[in-house]
Amino acid sequence: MVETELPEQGVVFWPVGTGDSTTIVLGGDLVVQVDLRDMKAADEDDAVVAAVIDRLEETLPQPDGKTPYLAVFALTHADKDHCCGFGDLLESSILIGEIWATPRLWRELSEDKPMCEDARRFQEEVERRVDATLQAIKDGKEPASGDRVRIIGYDEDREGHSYAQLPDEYFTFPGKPITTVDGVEVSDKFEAFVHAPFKDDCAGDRNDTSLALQVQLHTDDGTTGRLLFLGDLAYPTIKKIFGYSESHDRTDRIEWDVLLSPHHCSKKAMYAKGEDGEEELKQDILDQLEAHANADARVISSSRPFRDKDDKGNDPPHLLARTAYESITDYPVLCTGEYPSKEEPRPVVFALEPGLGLELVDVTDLENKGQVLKAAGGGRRLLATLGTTRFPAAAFTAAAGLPHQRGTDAARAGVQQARGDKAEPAVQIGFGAA
Amino acid sequence: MKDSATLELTEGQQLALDQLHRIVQASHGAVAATHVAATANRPGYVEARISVGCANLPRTEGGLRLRSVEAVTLLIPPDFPFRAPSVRTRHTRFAGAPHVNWGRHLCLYRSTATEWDPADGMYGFVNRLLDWFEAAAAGELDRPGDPLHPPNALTDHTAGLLVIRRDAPVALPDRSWLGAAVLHQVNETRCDVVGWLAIEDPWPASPEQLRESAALPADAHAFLAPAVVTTKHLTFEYPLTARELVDALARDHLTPRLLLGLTGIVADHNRTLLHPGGDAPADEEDTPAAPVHLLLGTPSRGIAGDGPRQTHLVAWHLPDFADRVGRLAADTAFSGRPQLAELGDEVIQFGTEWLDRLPTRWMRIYEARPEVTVRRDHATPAAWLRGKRILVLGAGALGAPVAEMCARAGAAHLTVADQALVHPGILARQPYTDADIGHFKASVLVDRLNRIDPHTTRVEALVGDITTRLSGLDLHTFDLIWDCTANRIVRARLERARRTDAAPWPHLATLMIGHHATRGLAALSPRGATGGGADVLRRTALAAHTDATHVFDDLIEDFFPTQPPTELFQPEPGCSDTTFTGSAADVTALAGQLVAGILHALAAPADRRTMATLIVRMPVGPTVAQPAGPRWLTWPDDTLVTDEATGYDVRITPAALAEMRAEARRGARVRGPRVETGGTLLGVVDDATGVIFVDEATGPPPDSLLTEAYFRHGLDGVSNHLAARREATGNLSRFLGMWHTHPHTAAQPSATDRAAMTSLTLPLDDAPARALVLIAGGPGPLWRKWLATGDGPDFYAHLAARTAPAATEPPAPEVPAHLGPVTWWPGGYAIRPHRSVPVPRKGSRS
Repeated sequence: MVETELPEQGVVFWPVGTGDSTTIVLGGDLVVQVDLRDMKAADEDDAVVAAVIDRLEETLPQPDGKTPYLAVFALTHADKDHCCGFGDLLESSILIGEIWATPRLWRELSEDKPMCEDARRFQEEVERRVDATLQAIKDGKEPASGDRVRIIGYDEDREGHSYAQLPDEYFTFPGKPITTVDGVEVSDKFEAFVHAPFKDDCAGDRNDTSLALQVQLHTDDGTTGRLLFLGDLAYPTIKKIFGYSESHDRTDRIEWDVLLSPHHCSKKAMYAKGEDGEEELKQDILDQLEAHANADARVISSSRPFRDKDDKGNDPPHLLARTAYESITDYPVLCTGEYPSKEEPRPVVFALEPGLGLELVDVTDLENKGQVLKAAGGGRRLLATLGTTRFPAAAFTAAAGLPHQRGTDAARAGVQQARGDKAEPAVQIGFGAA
Repeated sequence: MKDSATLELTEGQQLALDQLHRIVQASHGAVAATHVAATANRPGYVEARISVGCANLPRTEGGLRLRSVEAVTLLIPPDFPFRAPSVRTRHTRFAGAPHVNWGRHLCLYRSTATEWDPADGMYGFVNRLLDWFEAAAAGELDRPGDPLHPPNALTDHTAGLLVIRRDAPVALPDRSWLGAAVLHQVNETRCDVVGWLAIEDPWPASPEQLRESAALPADAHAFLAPAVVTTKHLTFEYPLTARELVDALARDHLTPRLLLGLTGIVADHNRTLLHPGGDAPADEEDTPAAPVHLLLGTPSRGIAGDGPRQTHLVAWHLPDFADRVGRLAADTAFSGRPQLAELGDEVIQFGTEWLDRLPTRWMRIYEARPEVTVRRDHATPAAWLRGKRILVLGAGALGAPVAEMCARAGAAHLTVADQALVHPGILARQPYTDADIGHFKASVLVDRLNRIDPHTTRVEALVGDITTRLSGLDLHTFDLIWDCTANRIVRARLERARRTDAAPWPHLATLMIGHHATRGLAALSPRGATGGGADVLRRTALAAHTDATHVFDDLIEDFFPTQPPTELFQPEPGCSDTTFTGSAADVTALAGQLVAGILHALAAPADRRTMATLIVRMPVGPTVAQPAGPRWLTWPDDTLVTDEATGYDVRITPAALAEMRAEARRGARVRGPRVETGGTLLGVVDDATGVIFVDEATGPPPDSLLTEAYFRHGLDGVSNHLAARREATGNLSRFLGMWHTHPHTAAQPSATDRAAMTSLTLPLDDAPARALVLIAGGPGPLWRKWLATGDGPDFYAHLAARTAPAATEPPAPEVPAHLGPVTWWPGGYAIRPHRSVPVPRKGSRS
């Protein structure tokens, strides 16, 4: 099927091993990147992961005709698997219009917690922007794109840091939506509702201070796609998010079509210590997740491929978590490291289809569209081009080419093979009394 | 797939999951399976979620919009594979498409009994699911042949049964349809929906009008039931509480107020209808005049956005109290009197609360609506019978099953004629019972057939002697006559009546079975064909006798013996009629085959229907050589000429006509265009039916004498030829008369011809007492056209009968003197005229 129609808005989950790197295409020239894990810097053994920055640099819109433009970079938290390669991003030709950051880094700096190089670079950049913004305000000007910053969440130690001097409009607190990106009001097509970090958790583990967002994308015809980003949050905080929204009568903010599973499909999202101190499945959060899921909702595990079984002490992804998610959705959990195959992963692209919602775009489909849409502009080209990114692994796969299309014909062939319709002996077989 | 070890699985469910697992493994991601768990609300069931890649399916106009991956939940029954799994979706995106029940259930099988293969298990099931997705994407989910049905467990058989017979109304785009269904109470538990009345239409004012409006018989009990049809599809799954239902309806602006009001208006009208003059006993104020069935229609059929949707119907049986509350509501809130408005509001409020607490009792619904059902016989030849008027002669071994087949096929009117009584001997193979003994077959049969589909088929008995009773019928009002009497007398009568009728008869099928019910014949005389049943059977006999391969020898013995059979079965000693043997299996099977064959022939376009005979034979045991299979013989129409002397039909077969034309063409070429020719005619005169059958014609014998004004038929070889043909045809075809031509002149007898008629029938030796003289002629253009194209010439036919006294001398076979010197030609294959040779003097047989 070669259809030249591809929606303008959508989201791309990059195969970056066990880490997060998500590109949200808002349409027009606006692109939001949530977390980053660049393959070049990732240096993970035998993991097939994407060189996100190179690809973004090639494909991001160039409003001025030469500079690739990223409207927003949002960092959920400063773990390496969420910000790896940020330094390279800064050094690339990409202009980052605005950065969304949590106050957490200032606390970590002041508490002298270990921090990776990229996190340090990120913090320096945020501080530079805080200064630039304060200067612009002093000059009676709007901060320029490239200098903008938004602080999300509250920390009790804020008064000790320069960002505290920023006017209120540069802050967003949990329970409030963000509808401007890099100074542009976009509420007709994009809203990012902030669920976390909670003020009470500001001194907790780094993971528990993750930024949590519900992103809504809107089309002109009123179709909405809902994405839930929960960073590396674990059960207690997630439970708090759902509880708050339910009790504050804003369940529309926890509805979801696509959930980026917290902490790379970690079991900590739904397993926690019970009263007896043993880890137990928390069905309540699963029930809540299910209650607010669209009928066609899908869960993404941004991770390396699943192992065959969970061993004690394994890092995510966890099969336990996958099974739990699959008990509440109709679709299999989609692992970025396995899509469409472990050998040759591709970015997972969801497009916002008018009248339908977020729709997974088949890889072969993208491949076809990518050809046709090369000349097209805006988000269409972007989704198609990003989605057809091939990664180094593909280069050394002997039979590199189009992935199998996942269609009813392939399913039919599967049935036929399973049934043994055309089964025949494959090798010579010897028999005898000897 | 989740480890299902913790689940209690039956052996069958384990098999299903194993098969599913194999499919998933083999399909490279195109089929994925995830969650396996016990199914809530379906004890013993296990559900498995699978997702299927549909990325290859192009989006089409009118097709369902599928996602690149579609997820469904399979419900695997404990007794898999002896029960098929079912499949449902979490979403309602497919709601409203054909083969989607209640918004979420995909209907993959119309009949699992025939379509579900337990041996193929999940493999077949997943294939079927793929078929469904492909058809859905292409917009090719056809309309279901079977009605939608709710999960059986959720209907309440004590709530009653509704059979929907009339196409249902549909809502306007912006307004629900409100009104009443006309119900025919068939028995205590069953009502048939036989009509619909919109609220804005005038409603019948009396029971008579009501019955008339629905074409019900005078003794039928009919009443009204409130009915609504919503504008929007409801995706609820048979709500178990009235509250859910009321809430769902309220979204379509069907408020409890409206429902109660409508119920009340209908209840009031039922009172007026059923207790005219307000004679309802006062103490029965609480008792409704009729049960309260609320019919609820939703626009559920058809593809979304594609043409009109049809109405899916369910019926909710309400307690009698609904009648009272409804009437109260109608009399207050809908009275139009302002002083009652407040009371009305209270009644509505009370009624709404009452509805809220009510459980729903769903009635069973059987669909018989033409718009949503396809008759099982719709693609068979029997479809021809639907709506037709049929006459069946005979109600015996053939007639009774034939009549039943017509009734089941939905003939509009059926007349069954027979004069016989049921006696014990026939029960072995005719569909009568012990209780019927002593009653007229026709009456008993008609009583039974009238019960098959009283809303469609009316069956009448005609008891008495068929041959005399027929005159009282206007046969032209029928579409088809089945002659199942196996009676030569009836056949001859029909042939004669058909022949002498100025208007063409309906199709006539004459059915016969052999003496031991091992063979059957069905002779078809389509409307307008030259021959009736007797004619077609005579042709059949001729064809059987003359077939050189002897494939019909068994038929000859059974149906057309040259010697009457000597061993006749006498079932009841002392009874003078010989009759037949054979079982119910034999006669029913033969009847079925013969009927199917005839209907096939009738289903052909009118210009391709010919006289035809179907021959069928019953199978024998597996170790014996099987008889030949079904075989059709067909004949084009004859050329019809009316005999001048008797008014009989002269039916000239195409073969005889072709022979005459061949001889005329050869004569024109060899002897000159004006030289007459002629020859012998073979066939038979049937005085009973008044038909002269001309089967064959021959050319002039070699000793004939052919000139431009005179043709003398010779005798050489004639006797031998006639003997050979008599032998070959089982004496069916014999000397009939002579034909000759009048090239380029009128087909009228000359004085010579008249004299010849006398000579031909002279009482000499074996000379015939009657003989047909047939003259083919016509003006030049007509004659030339016949020779060139075969378009018939003019004919003159005269069946000459012996008039001369016994002692008359044969005439001298001289060439008439007045002809003067002429060039004459011999018959046979001579190609030169005989100028100088004296006219031969052979005047009598040598």
